[in-house]
Amino acid sequence: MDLSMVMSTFFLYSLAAMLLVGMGIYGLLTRRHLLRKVMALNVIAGGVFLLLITTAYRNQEHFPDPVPQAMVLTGIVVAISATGFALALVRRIHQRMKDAKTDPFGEKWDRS
Amino acid sequence: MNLTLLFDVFLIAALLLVSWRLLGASDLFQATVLFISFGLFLSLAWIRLQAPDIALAEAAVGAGLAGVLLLGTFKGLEPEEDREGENLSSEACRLDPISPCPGRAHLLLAFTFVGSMTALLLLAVLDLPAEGDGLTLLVFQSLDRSGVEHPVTAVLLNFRFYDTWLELGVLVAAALSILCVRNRLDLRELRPSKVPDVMLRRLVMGLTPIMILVVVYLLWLGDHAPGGAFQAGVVLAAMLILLWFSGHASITSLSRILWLFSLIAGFAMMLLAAVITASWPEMRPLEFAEEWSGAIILAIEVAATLSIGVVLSSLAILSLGAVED
Repeated sequence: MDLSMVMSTFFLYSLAAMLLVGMGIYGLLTRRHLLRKVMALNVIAGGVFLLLITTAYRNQEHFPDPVPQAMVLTGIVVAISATGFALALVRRIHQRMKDAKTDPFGEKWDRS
Repeated sequence: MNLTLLFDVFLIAALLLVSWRLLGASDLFQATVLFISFGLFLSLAWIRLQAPDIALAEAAVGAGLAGVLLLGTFKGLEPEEDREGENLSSEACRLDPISPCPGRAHLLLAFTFVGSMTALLLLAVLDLPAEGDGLTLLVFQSLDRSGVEHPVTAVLLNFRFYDTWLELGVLVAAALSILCVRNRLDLRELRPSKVPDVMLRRLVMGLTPIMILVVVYLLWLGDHAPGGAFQAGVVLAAMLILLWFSGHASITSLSRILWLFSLIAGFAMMLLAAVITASWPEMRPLEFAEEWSGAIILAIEVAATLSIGVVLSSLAILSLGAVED
């Protein structure tokens, strides 16, 4: 395969990966809804994975580097379990906030 | 010009646009749907970058399962089905209901931080050595001693065995912490929120043997081609969720002991392999003898598939299910 083509693909995709990470962090910092924050974390993860895989693609002769690929495969499964846990926490927080709202004296959860 | 470059540009534009919209759209439901398409575009990118293993996992996990989890949580937060999710629940869902909305200073600060982070990342990428194969050569040199023919499987289950082992530990920890958060001991009383209709029941009934076939095929394929325990486990999870959703027997009908057993099967199998290899003379811990490594890897893969399938389907069922009154 033509080396300059591989390099230009690498630069395109790594640039996209960086922008994804940047957008994800910005969303994480500025959006308030917790569900949106979980999505922003997943966008960051997507950017990190993309950077790893483009680096693996760049260093190839016949086959891309399998070590980053295996790392990303592991990372995807860890990311989904973290997402599941985060979403369970979001639901719990939502439940408690709702309880606090209907609590007539507002004492139960008002600890700020 | 060449078509590949055109495809690259379109794909990247689609990825960036979709992620921009999913972070910016005011409608939370729209953002969730965009998130699913983000996963699909990502898996297209994996195919383009010659990583079919990851594309398989991403299409099932990133687009499928994450979408199910997000939609389920969205429904849980907005049971009365109003689409104005953001306005109504943004207050209920914030960690600090008293603090004001992000002001201009907050946004500026966030933007500066993000800008400097991205610039640092750019410098790091430009700083990468131009020449070099990474670890490709090393992997291919040791491939015939690993017991499998597919390099990614060899890395996952032989060369970097430790990573995969700890990852299964993370899965078990995630499943148990979600049980804690939801105040439950097991999945047994959880039911889907809607009564399944006859068509769905029949369809899932017909699909189940095919899905079992796909699981076994993917597992077997991992030995010499893209596929393996992860992809097979994800398909198994999809099957278990569908069975549960259509009212058939699934992991919710398992007893607590059996459920816990299948939860830790993968981790336990790897622990067993570690203990045996550690106590074996003239071998280091986690080093497999060449003539046995194929069989050991297959046994571990079967257990890992079971565990991954059960954990991922438990995550979804715990987030979608409700207790029947």
